[in-house]
Amino acid sequence: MSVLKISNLHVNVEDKEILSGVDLTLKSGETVALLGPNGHGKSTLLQAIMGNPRYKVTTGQILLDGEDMLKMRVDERAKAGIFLGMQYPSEVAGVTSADFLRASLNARREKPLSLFEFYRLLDTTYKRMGIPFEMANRSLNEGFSGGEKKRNEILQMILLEPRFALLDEIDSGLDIDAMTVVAEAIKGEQEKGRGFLIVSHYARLYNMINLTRTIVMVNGKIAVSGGPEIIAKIDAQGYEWIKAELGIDIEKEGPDMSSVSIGICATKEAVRDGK
Amino acid sequence: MANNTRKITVDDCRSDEIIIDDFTAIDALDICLGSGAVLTLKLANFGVGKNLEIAATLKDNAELLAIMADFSSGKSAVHVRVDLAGINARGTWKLSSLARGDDDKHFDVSFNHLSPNTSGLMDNYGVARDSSRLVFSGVNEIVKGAKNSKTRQSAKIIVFDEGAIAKADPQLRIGENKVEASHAAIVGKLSDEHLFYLMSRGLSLGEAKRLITYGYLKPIADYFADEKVKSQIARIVEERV
Repeated sequence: MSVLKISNLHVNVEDKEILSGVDLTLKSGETVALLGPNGHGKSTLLQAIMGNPRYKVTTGQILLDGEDMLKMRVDERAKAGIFLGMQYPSEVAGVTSADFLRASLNARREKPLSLFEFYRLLDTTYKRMGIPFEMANRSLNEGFSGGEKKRNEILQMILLEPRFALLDEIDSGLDIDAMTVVAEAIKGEQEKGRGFLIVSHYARLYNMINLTRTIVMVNGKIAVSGGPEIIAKIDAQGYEWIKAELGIDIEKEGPDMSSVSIGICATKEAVRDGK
Repeated sequence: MANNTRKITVDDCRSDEIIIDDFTAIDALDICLGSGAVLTLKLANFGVGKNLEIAATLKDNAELLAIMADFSSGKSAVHVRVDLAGINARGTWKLSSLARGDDDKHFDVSFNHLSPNTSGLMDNYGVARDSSRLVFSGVNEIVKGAKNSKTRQSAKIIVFDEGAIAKADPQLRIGENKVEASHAAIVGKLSDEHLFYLMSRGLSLGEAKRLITYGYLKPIADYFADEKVKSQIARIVEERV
């Protein structure tokens, strides 16, 4: 049983504070849905946990089973069991998925996988994710459609067997069939006792998997915590009710607060504001 | 021309393939391709870098495919001049170069389109690491009268470290209207987001850089059927990155 404990986390992006004191505890076997208006810190929280150097932690703590994650490099965090399924996975020209996956798998093993073991594992996982095996020999994410990139992220999650998977809008760009594949994959991994922190704007994915609880991030803090009824409410009404019911002013007004399907992330906003 | 000049002649309508992987006794290559002659020239340097002059003249319908895998160390200047002298002559040049440590490398590659329907295609790829210097230059010229000719210059260098210097400034000189010419020069820093992505899967910084370097320079290996060259490229990237 593992525990990921985040306390009073403050994070800056380009000198602008995006997270202003986040407290969150995630345990093995739990799945937490993370919602909130755009630009309020959902992606920032995930990136900060993974250790993206662009996201500067100014105060606070991230502990994995009592170990200080903030002292760990990105690769050490990965090997300690954190996985980030990214909203915009990088396209890395020349590096094939197969070479990359083999290096990733071997990075966490004493003895490298044999070619035979590796290809058997890869073949099974590609089938499970409904991705043609030929794609393993293509450059990582290069020329992949939005949906293929997201499925490729989940494929990596399955192969790397993390303790905690942080999934950032993993369902955007997926058609309903691909969404079912991704949801089934998440459920399969849930059964193995992994912990999940899942960011999405849509109720659809959340309805297809088992959730432990739902949290809503507003103004860089967790404003609401509860059950699936919160997702239904946001899906129907957006975020305006938070202001009316809880008296929290939603500070950084996004382009359209009542819409729940917008796509500007906090980083871009910070970059724009900073210049 | 320089002292040790190796002369390569392919007669009319003949074809040949030449592989050179030891440059200790070569300062220059003087290439002459007769009408309809075809030459595939594969150059691989894994040793000490040295200056090299390559001059080629292509007659009507002659074809030159020149591949260079440069993994040498030290200081070097390589000049390549291809004269597309005959109608329908076609030249292709592909280079991958790895500069590291305090290597200082300059590649100057030029195609001269002297007749109609000629084609000159050039792709230069480079990685500059540590405090090395890597320069790609050259002038592709299409003279007046060389109608329907096609010329391409592409130079890309990834700079891995703050101390490395890279320049890519190929130029086009076009004296004829009815031609196709393209030109691309990119010198870019290694992407922090790419490194973060690879490291978020557990790869160390060194492994991530190795994988990116290898991916970038590997395509040149595909031109060498010889497994020895392929594994040498993999080993050098492993050692030197």
